[in-house]
Amino acid sequence: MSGGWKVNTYFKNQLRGYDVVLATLGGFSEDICRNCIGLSGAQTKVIKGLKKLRMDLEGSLIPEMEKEKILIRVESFLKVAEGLKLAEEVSCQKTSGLCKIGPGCFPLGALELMNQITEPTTSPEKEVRKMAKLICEVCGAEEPIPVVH
Amino acid sequence: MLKVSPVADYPTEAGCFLRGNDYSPVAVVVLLNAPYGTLPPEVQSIPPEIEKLVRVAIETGAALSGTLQTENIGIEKIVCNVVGNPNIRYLILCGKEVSGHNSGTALKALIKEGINDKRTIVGSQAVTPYLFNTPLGAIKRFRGQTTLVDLTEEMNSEIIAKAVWSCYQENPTPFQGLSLCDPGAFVETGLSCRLTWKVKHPEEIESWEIDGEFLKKIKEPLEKKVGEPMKGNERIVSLTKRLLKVTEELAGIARLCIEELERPEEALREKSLEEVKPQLPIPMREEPLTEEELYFVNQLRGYRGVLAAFKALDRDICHDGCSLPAAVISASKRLKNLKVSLDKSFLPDKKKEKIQKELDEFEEALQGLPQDTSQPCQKTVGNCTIGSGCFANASLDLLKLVTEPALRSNV
Repeated sequence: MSGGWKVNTYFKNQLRGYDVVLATLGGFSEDICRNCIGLSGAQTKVIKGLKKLRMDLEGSLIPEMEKEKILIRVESFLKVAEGLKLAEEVSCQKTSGLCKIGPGCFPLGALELMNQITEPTTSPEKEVRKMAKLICEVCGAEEPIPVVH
Repeated sequence: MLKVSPVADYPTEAGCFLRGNDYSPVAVVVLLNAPYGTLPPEVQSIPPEIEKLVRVAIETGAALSGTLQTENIGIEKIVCNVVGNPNIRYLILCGKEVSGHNSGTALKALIKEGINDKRTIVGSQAVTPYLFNTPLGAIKRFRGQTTLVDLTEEMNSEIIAKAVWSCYQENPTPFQGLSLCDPGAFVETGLSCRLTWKVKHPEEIESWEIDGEFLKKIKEPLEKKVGEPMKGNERIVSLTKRLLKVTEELAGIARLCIEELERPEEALREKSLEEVKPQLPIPMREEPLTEEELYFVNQLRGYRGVLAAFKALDRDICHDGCSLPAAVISASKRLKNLKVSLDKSFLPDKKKEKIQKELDEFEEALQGLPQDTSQPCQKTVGNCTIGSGCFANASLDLLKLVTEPALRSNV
């Protein structure tokens, strides 16, 4: 299993996760969660997660074409996340006495769907740490190659 | 023994604490281990056993006694209030560790190790032990001024009372292996500092976000001056500037009041314009009157999210797998069961109809999702590489978040 494969899989899996999380949050935003600080917090977490993903992607060594495709999806998810329906002022709906489902919280539950992703275990920036140089025997040109740890 | 007056605005930060004898050398921090999200910010419902500890500490002679829940803002408030009173030389930490926050270990680590250049408490097990809103001078002073009396996990009020009493004895008094006595006020004058609130939600900050730019943004201009007493004219200039600022703000408020009183009609018109400003329609549900109705309403809320998740998964590789169909079938069965329960319920017909309509809509949506379980598992065929987890099953599990009210036997 090559390092590049792992990196690519990492991003694809994260995108799969965010897709379902965003849809679920969207579903809950149709309800009283729209007025809830739980949904607002989940939205913030998703936005930050996506921004981190974008940062990791920019620093990764996956092919530019592939990178661009993933980046487009990250950007579109960011737009969806930012567009989640939320009231101007939010407060915990349990504290307000409107949410009576028990101690659970739907937006936090939706966010935890991301925890289903357990592989690849290494994050891309840890996977490829150093750059070695490959010197062409014919022309002597230096080409960087990733060293996988 | 030297005792001094606390700063004029002591205690500088509001919080969930009681103020006792300002000349006492001890403050008591009781860890507030209460389920996340169930307490309002003003903490109206402190568990009685915790409130008892807070009260006992004050009644025994502590300067301050209160609860601590969060590992960032909570600790910052303690720092600000303690450095405002140089007489406080001991900090008694007691109560059960706050699950999730680990504020107790964070406070202990702060006193022992301090913070690093990212304003993160060194050696803390908490998730977000960031002190972004407190001047560095105050943190340094806090660590130098106080000695920790670690009674974490202790809930016995008699032991807390004994600890408080030992701290203000004139002669060294043994207590749980320590030798406690009142050493008098700290050598330096009190610091009057408040939270800058440059970061209102430190719990939302990820460690990777704390870079040079972030730290530059939160830098407090007064930070350099805290801990270094101002001299002569410098102090007068600083106070005059503050007075000027207060005067300007008061003048602004006065102007607003006069304008509103002189032009009431205009003000009213502006107000009505503000009211018609388009806002997102907030979904309103009629407050369920009975527990029976609440049961169905809660279930519907869960299904709304589950269905949205299923639809998203249907656009993904789960469409060709076996887990999504299995989850869809399971959700359908539960929905049918819910319908039967609704029929048997004693809800008024009108309400029944309304819920029935929503259930039918969900049923219809589920029918449009894949239900062929003979399709191959996407993990087995190598398409799903997320690990052992499963999005479809986890989405269905969202329904488990609804734990109240339990369905009554007559339904």
